[in-house]
Amino acid sequence: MPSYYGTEAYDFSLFEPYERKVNSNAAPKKAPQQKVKKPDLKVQPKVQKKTDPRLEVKKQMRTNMQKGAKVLAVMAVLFAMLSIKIYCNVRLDETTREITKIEEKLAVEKSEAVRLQMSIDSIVSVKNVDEYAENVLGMMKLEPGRESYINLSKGDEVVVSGGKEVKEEPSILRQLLAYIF
Amino acid sequence: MNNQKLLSSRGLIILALFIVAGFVALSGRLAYLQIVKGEEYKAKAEAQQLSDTVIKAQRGTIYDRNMKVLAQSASVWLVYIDPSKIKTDATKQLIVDGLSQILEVSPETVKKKADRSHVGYELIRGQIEKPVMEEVLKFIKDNKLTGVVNIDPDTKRYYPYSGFAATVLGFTGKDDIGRAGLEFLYNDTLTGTAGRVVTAKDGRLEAMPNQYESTYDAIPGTNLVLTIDEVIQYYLESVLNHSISETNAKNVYGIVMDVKTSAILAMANLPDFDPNNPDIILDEKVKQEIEKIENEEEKSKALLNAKYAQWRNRTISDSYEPGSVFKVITVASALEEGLVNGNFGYTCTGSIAVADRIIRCWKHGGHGPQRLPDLLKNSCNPFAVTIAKLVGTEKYYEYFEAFGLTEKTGIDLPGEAAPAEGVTYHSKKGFGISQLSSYAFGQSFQVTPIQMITAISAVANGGKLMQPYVVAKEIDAEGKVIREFTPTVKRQVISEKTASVLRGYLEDVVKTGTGKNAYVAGYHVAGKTGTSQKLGKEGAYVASFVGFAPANDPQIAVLIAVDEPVGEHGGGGVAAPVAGEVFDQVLPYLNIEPSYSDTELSLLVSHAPNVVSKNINEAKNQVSQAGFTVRVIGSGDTVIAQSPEADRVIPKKGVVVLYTEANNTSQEAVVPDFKGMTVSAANKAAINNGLNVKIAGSSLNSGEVFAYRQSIAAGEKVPLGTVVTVYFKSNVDVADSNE
Repeated sequence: MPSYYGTEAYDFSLFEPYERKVNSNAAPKKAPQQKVKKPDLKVQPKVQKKTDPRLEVKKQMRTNMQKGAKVLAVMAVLFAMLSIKIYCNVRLDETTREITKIEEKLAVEKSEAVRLQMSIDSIVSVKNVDEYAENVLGMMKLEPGRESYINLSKGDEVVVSGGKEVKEEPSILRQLLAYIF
Repeated sequence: MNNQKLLSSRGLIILALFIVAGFVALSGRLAYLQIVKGEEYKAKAEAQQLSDTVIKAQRGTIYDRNMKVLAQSASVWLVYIDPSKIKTDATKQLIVDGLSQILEVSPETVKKKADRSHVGYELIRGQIEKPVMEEVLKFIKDNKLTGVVNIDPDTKRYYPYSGFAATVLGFTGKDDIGRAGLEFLYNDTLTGTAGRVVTAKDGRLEAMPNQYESTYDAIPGTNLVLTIDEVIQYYLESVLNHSISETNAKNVYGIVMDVKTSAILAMANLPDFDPNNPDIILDEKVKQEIEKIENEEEKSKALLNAKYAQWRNRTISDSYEPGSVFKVITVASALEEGLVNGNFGYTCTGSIAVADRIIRCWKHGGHGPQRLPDLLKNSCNPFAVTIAKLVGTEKYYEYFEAFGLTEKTGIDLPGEAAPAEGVTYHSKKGFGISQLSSYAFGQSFQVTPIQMITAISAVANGGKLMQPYVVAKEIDAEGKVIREFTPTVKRQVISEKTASVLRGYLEDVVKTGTGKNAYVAGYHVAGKTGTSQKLGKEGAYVASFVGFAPANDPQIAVLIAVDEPVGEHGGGGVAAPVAGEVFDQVLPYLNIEPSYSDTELSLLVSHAPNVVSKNINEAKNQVSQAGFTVRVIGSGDTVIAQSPEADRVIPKKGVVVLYTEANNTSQEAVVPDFKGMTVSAANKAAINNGLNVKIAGSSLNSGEVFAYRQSIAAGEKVPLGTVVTVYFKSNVDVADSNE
């Protein structure tokens, strides 16, 4: 309820025609739609509307078909999801099986690698190399006398760390002359 | 109408009752299955649906000090049959014929196992490798024997160098558990921890994807890095092999030790075995003796004893009387107590009276006047007894204990013999003057080779008694060090000064004393020989030598012992040359620089000059000027080939053969038998046959040496100019025993 703080007994402004303030730039406002009351149509109970039974059937069929289609669609989606899930599991299962087989094969090959490496080590043992060099190639071991040792040592030396410069202290005479001049 | 209603309501009630009854029955059954039988069915379901696989942990690898693999495990397979599934005789015969051929197992063995039709598992053969496994798989597939013949995983331990350091490494059984040596002692470290994989099984009884899997990873075993050097071990084993075949000894053993740390660089005893097949007896003599036994029970007992004998590490398990080697300890104790010095004199008359007995010197008539260094050089028994008496029984016993001879060394190998008071050595109470006199020259008590070399190493390293060890560190699969073993000093036994004086005396033993056959030119070898008679066995001796080099800065110590050599049995004549060969090969390998005296330099080898394509006269001049003898084959003007080749090492005054015609380059010479010849005789024989001799052994330092081995067998045909290595040793003044 608006409050009125004037002194007149009645607010005559309320009875004056309402002047709308129009903004010429503003978009014209739509005129309020008048509500049209719907005619109160009462269907007489005894008066039955006549409908076409064929249309009813068609409508029913259409509705049923729509329902069925929805159900089918949902089922199809569910079936597809289930199939995908099963397929994924099957693929996972198969891949796991393949991985297991490959891992087993890898383990076999690793063992074979160890066995072959042992065979190689056995063939190129010091004993076999020594015997082959002497007996087959006619080689001989290096005599100690054939080795000459080179002394790379440059002797003792002192290295001053930090690259410090050693400054020479000037003599007393120099200091005195520097002070005077 | 009312009747109908009544009927229908009654029907409904009955129906309801049936439904309720059925529901109750089902619930009851469900409760019974779930609650009463729940655990049982759960277990059955798990057994059916779950796969529980044990992941065996890989056994640790054993490396030498240079990370060469000495022992490594790998997965292999075993083949077994299910005799209960063999339905027909034809199938049985097929299996017997097929498996016996593929697996090299006797058909009788396979048939015996296949006949056991009430059994579901019979192992045919384990530790089969991939090529054989694939053959078996093919056999199973071709003959549709799946489920009847089966393959399961197995493990095999590989030792790539066969008998290399066999008694040190030991071996594992078929169950991959260590049975001897380091494999036994470090079994827990090497074994690791098994893992487990629990997975769900599908309809084909195969594992299902990872989401149904629980894995507990196996922890592989720890790897061991030893102090053993593959090359030094090879050198030691090869010289011991020569020794055992030359002396026909029962056993020979040797140890090479780093004197500063007491790390064992090599350890061997022969005859030994192949860890890849530890049950096979390698000693032919023993094999033949066992074959002669007719009684089966006795035969299998003898076979078992022979196996134990070859698995035994005698360097730590067997004790022996050290003999004259122990004189080093006697002199050390007297020097350390300040009771004697280098000028201490004694005149050996050939015997000495002690209590109620006479102790004789090995040299009849005695050595005459001697000084302290001569005690060791001449290995004089009466002199040693005199020194020991100066020390006194109590003090001497203290040194005996201080040098670690009454306790185990603590080496990390199984089966080290523990000294037993009253058995291997006398108790303090029972140690009187008589015992003292015997101990002075190494008789009446026993020590193990490892104890002896550890005691002598204390002299070499400045007086510190160390604890020997074989395992340097434990590392994981990535090579990260888990544990490192450091040298342990047990105690200071003698002072550095005493040790230094003794080192000089021991060098004299090798230069001019009984140890001259251990001499190596350029390296100052020091050591002491020993010969001891085995108790209770007439005519059986142990010849030994313990030494170290270089004497001025010792790096390695070597002990060689020859058990029951046939014929010559002195330490100087039998063990010292072996030790000399070990020093000769090991010291250059360790890059220890030789320092030659002028005499040694003058006798060293030289190199053949290159005269191919030169005019024959020019070539002859060049060769002669180089100090060699020339032999010309053919009548051409130009040298087309020479033997030995240019730059080949040959001794000074050796022969160079010059070929001047193509047809004559393949002339051969027959290698003479140099054994028993002196150096000059051997050289002459070589030149006469157009060959060269490389002199090895103690020849450079002795006037009377004789050849005892040659690198190319006598009678073999070789090209002219070929260099034959001849080993010399002296038999003069190398005896240290008159037994």
